[in-house]
Amino acid sequence: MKTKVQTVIIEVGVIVGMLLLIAIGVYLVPFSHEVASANPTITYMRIPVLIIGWSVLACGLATLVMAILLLERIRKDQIFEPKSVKLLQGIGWCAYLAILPLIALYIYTEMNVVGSITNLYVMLGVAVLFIIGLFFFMVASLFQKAVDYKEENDLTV
Amino acid sequence: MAIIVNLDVELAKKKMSLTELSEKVGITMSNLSNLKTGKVRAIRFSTLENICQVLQCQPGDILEYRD
Repeated sequence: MKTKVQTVIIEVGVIVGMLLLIAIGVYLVPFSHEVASANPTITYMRIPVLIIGWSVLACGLATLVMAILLLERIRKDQIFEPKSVKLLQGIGWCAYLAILPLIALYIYTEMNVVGSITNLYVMLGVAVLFIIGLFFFMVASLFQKAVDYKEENDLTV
Repeated sequence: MAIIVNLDVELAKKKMSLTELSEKVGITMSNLSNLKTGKVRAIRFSTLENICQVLQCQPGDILEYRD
């Protein structure tokens, strides 16, 4: 019962996070216009950077969808099953996938803007995403071990 | 499979049904049925002990190794 309440609370948090990501995605459009009008020399960068931003957000959204599915499994007490391992690996892959647009952003900015400070944040984001991906892959491998143990236990009479 | 479960042979010798054995040993019919058909991966010593006690036999009468 306690676990169910906890998962429902976390699920609500994840849904709020999803809405927040969607809101950021929508807000990026006027924000990009604002930045472009403030820096007229780099106006041509608006659309590519916007697309990169949306791809990172899409990865984040996919991660949260998988988190919701995982939480549903926890709530239904079906956690130590191969599907949960797949979901955790999926979250790890999403984190790794989000690194690609960030690297593209880094290269694109380096090519067009000299001495960009934003790139420091981009590299920090890459490092954080890499660690997040690694963490979820590690958790997935631990879950795989738990699934193996459970299967062993279930097949013992 | 190298280990063969001869539970059905022993049950036939003792003229006992699977249901009766499951009641006396205290394990579910489905688990006993899985054991009989060799679907399980391991058997606990306690389960083996109970089966041997009920069927009045040795573990070797139930389990057999074949190359």
